[in-house]
Amino acid sequence: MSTSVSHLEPLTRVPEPANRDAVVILRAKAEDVDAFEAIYHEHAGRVYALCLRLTANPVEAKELAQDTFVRAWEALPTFRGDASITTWLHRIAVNAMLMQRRSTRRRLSRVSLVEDERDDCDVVPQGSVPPADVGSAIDLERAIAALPPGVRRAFVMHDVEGYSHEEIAQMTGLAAGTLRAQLHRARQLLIQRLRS
Amino acid sequence: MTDHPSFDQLCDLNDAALDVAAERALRAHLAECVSCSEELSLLTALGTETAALPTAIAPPDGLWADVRGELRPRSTAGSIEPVVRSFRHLAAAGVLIALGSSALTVALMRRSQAVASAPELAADGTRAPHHSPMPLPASLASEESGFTRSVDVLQRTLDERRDSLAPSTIATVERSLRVADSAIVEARDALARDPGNRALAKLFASNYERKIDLLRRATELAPRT
Repeated sequence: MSTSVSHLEPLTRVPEPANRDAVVILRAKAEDVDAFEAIYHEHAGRVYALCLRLTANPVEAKELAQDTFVRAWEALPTFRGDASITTWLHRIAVNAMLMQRRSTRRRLSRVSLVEDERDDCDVVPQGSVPPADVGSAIDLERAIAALPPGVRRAFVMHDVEGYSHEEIAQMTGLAAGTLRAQLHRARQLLIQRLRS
Repeated sequence: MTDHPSFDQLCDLNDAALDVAAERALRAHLAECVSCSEELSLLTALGTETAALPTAIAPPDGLWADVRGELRPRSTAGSIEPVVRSFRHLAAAGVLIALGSSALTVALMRRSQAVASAPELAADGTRAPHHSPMPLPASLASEESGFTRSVDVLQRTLDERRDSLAPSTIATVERSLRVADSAIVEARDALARDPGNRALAKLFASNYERKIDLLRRATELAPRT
């Protein structure tokens, strides 16, 4: 099949960074897996950091990061560039985590009527493994990983990732008061743990 | 303020979430209360340490391989009816590109008064591709190189799946692509003559995007082999 624009003179100039990103995204939208791999390598570290902090479990974090990039691949045609692709990927990760959590809660509710939402209690989740490769900030990383799931989520999203109260409330469905209480509880627990 | 503030109030102070009067009262207390000041210092230090956390953590080996293994083509062959509909849309899209783009290019060229006349239409309504394209400015050239890479990827995919398409479908696809190409060439030439014309630049990009869309939809018509 001929493409009559293919005869145009070769263009050898290297695209400027902003343009290059846009071009890579456009290629990935057109199902160019190599381009998507480039997006992956550019953002995998940040996405994985978010997943690890949200789950406090390397196995779950890997699954969540994988889920995030697969969802991103599927949703890429809908990416319009209104936000940066970093922001977009992080939102996908958070939404994927919330969906997994709701799914787990539904599954658990089928076998037990006991309320399993332990967000406000000071219980370290079973199977939590503090991240091991976070360099000088390891104490804080460990303390974050040891937080109960709900307060950890509030802390990671607000204090680490910088989402506003409104954005978190919108994504999680939490009331503003609950979110504020979780965030303050997280800070209090972290200060206690870092002080001891 | 005589009572010690709650931890919530200290957090609100730290987050600048207190109103002016409450903040003033709290700061007055902090100026005289060592334990509350220390508590606020710890809170501030926590914020500083948190801000210094690494933004990226190396993902485990094999994550990309796992992701890659889960990627499926977004275009899946559907039932006959959607394919027929897509086929008709594809042909219609080609015609629309030719009509819309040509008219718009001419209008924009007239507006800029940079070009005396548009290239002549060929008998089939398309424009003959130029054999010596004019160079584009650097920013547009780099944009074009990105587009042509996407086109090449999709073109290769379509070529690989070509055997699964009916000859009449191939003919329609090729005709639509020729129309798209001529629209690109036309906009490109106009832009080369009038590089500062932002409307032409937009048209040029949108013609490429339409060609990419045509190719993408054509690959959807051809099931994977």
